[in-house]
Amino acid sequence: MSQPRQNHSAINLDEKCELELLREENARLQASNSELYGYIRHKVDDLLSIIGTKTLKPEDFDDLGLVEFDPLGIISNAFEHVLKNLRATNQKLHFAHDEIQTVFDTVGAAILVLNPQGCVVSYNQKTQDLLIGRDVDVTGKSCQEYICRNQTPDERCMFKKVSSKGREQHFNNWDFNGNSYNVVGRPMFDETGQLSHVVMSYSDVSARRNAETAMFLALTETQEVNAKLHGILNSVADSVLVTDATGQIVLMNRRAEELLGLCLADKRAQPQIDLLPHQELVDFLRMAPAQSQDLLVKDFSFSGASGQEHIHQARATVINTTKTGFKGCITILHEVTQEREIDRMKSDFISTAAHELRTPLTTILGYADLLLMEEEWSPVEQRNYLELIQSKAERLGDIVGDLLDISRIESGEGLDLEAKPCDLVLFCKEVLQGFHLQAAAHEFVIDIVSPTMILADRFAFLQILENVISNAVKYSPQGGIIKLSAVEKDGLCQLSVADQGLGMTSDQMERAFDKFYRADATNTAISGTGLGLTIVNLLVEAQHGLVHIASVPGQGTTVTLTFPSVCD
Amino acid sequence: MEIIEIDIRGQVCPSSLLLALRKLNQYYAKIASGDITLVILTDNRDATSTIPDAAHNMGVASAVEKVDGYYRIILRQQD
Repeated sequence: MSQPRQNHSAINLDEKCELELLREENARLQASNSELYGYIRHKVDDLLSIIGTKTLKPEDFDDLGLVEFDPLGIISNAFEHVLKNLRATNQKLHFAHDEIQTVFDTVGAAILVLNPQGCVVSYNQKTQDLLIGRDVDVTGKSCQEYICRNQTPDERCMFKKVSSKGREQHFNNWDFNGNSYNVVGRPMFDETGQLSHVVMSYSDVSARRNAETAMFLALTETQEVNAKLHGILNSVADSVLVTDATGQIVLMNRRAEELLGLCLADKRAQPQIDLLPHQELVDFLRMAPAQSQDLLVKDFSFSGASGQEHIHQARATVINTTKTGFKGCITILHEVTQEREIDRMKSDFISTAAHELRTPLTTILGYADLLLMEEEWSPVEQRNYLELIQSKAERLGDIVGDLLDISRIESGEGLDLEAKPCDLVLFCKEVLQGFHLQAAAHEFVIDIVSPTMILADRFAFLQILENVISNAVKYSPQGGIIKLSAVEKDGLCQLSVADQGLGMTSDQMERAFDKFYRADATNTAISGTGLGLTIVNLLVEAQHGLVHIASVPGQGTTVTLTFPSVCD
Repeated sequence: MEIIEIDIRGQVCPSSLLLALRKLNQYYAKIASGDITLVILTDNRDATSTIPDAAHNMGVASAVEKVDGYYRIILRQQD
């Protein structure tokens, strides 16, 4: 009985041992798995911290979940891609480095890389060409000593400026060895933000600077010439207008702008000819290219600000080139109002003078023919005829005399005048004697109370007075009163000749002293050459006197002559 | 070009990053060639920096847009 009991005990013991062994094995395996899962978690955490994220918490994934989710696999796959990307980036960096090296070697500027102590780390070929020479190696040498050669003071040292300020610095026109450089200094920093290098670039701008100086001088010269040309153009009394082949106004001087009321500076673009406020001128300029001649001349009438008419002669010079044909037009507008008026007055004068000369000449010829006829004339008749011939010949002489006087005065020969004290009343009477016979229908009044002595040339004064009274007679109606009066004041004597004639308008008064001007040239009933008052004015001014005209149309005219009087 | 949207809202770090990386790994070639744009929807603020950083290291361009209460992280081919 005990044997089976022993056997049974032995079996139980074996089972126990086996269980114990299994338990031990299980504990070992569990410890080993735990170590393995711990290792995986640890590695996953390491990798996650490299990526920069939080570590894996055990509550997020239990051990089986950890294996199932496979973070190591995910991260290792991701790292595989990161590595690929790094390789590609590295390749690009190599390529970029080669590119930079090529630029560094071939760039037109000298480039120096300095360490924080100012010693040369590297430099390109151009640095040798421009700054240090071919056979010199300055690697590791101080830039101050070997580049600037101690010629640049500290306050202008670009390396020191970049180092101290920590940012890019520029210095233009740095003169070195006879050349001029634009210098740029740029700092480079390491990952801790410390200055690692300073890159200096030197661009030789000597040629550009010389060109700039030359260009500046040329520009200044051009501006001066331009200003001079503008000055000349604007001081020209004529209007100058330049147009191009497209009909645009290229240039106008100030005079032209005033005349045409168009300011070129006000217009953003060059205006077209059509903008000119004068249609005839526009047509003239438009037609210019079609004309065969190079110079076109035409008169144009412009209205002045106060409504008066101004005549301008346009002289358009057409610019043609053999290659491109019509290039434009230079038009000069010269005011010819006065010239045209003189032309008109000369024509009037010729017809007037012809009329004035022919009338007495006809009489002379008529009476001379009578005397030459075979008929017997009584001595009285003969005398009458001869007196008439003499009178008309004198008239002819007067007209010719006036013309000669004007001609002599204007030619600058001057007048041989001798101022002497003259009795004004006696003068007036002497002159009026002649008019009593000629103009018996007029009434002459001398209203000079006190004896007045004036200082004048006798013959000139007589001529002045005859002309003034002659005008008063011609332009007064029959029976009109012509009054001579005098006022003496402040050493001057004012002699007035007043009539009750046709009178003059203010325009007529303004022009009364003009040569050949006649108030009403069409009225041939009133004889005259238009020279009387011109001669009066010239003779009075030559004796330091003054002539003044006051007149009202239809009421009469008063001519006042002012002469120095002789004090007692 | 195909747009694939992955919704990992509710996930926190690091699982949101790991989930995004798993999809990035899966579609990497097509994202790099420009055939696919991956859009990750997340409400985890940390993920708006960790995912784009990881994508950048892998050579993938990223952009983050804020939508109502969550973020859209767009992962696509680099220019």
